[in-house]
Amino acid sequence: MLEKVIFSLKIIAWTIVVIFLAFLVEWFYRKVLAHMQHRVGPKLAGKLGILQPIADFIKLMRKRQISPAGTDEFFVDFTAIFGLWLMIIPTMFLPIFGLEGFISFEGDAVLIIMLLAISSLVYIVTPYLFPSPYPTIGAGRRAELYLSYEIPMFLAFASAIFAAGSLRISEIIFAPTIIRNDIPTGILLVPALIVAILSSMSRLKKVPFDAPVAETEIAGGWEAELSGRRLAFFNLLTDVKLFVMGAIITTFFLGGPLGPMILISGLEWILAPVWYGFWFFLKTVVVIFIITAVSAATARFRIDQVLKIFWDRLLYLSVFQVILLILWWSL
Amino acid sequence: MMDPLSVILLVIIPFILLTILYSLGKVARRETGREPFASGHAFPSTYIPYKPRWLYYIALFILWDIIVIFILFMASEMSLYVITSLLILIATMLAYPIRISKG
Repeated sequence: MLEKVIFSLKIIAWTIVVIFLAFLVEWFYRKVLAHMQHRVGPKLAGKLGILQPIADFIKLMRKRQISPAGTDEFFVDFTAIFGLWLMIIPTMFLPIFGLEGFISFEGDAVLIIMLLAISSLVYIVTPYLFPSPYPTIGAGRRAELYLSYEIPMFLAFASAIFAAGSLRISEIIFAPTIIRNDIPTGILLVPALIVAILSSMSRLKKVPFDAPVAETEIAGGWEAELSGRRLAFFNLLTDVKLFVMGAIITTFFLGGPLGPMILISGLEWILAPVWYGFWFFLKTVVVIFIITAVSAATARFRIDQVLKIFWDRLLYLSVFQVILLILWWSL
Repeated sequence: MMDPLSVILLVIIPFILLTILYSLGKVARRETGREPFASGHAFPSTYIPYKPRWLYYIALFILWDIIVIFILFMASEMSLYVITSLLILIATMLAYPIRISKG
């Protein structure tokens, strides 16, 4: 019984930690994006504006909720909570402070990919709950985008799974370190890494793949009718998703928490998790920085251009990646 | 492998926490019951007559996508079922751009 209580407290603590990590990630994204665009970015709330995302969240939670007559109120509220919940669960499987996640079992890698696929449904279903043209058009674009990036992304993650020869995340983190024919698998996985980063940007609706939310064309698309606590929760969902995508790419392609460690005899129990956490967060921040830099340096593609990129380029690149792995291993 | 109670706790606790956090937000609405669009437009709210056929196709694709991943999850190794499911999934996805290119 006591064991279950401790387990429950750990889940509560971790959920709160993930929410605060998401706020931190949003601050980092906004700050980097602002500097790349010669702006200052958040600066008023807290040192260097680090508390600005929390202030924004509280402000939105205290604002009056507006929704057009005819909106399916219950399901919009449900999807706001359900979407965030779907993104918090995968973080429990990620090996952040050790070689295993908070929870680990054979097949957890596929469970994460499945949860990511289901989470996309939230963005497609929610806009149809509003009787408004902007969310409907945004949802249509979101669905087309999903159709384009899903298979390349799936094949990219599958490449890392094939390379590791395991469906367990605690074994997949070693995939880049496996040396075959004198070449580390991590180098062979570079095409998959590129596909994963670009697909993640599409999943996150970051520029240049932000056609579903294009403010200047469709007034924010599927987000147009969100306000108050709903908007607060969907904004938080986007931040959690940014962290989760960065962390998953780190886990599958960059060795997760693996890195050089300085351990002092007798203090390994505290130093090891600190080092693991340091390397994991450092790599995740680098991935998020790449996503931010690409977003800042590019302009929005039209929806047909996005589809062409994914169907004509990235799908072939991801198939090439799988063939490359098979050929290299059979040599 | 985790015991069923741990799985239930893992699923339920974050959901309850998020529900509590969500319920802390303000819900007050206008007395009239009718709201303007958040986007600022004054036209009356209505469902637009926009039901693209491909939406059903995409809905089926998403369903099939999740089923394939689930099959892979259950199989935990490459089998004829997994390879066939993956091939059907890729063929389903490719059907859409082929249809577009043919007009």
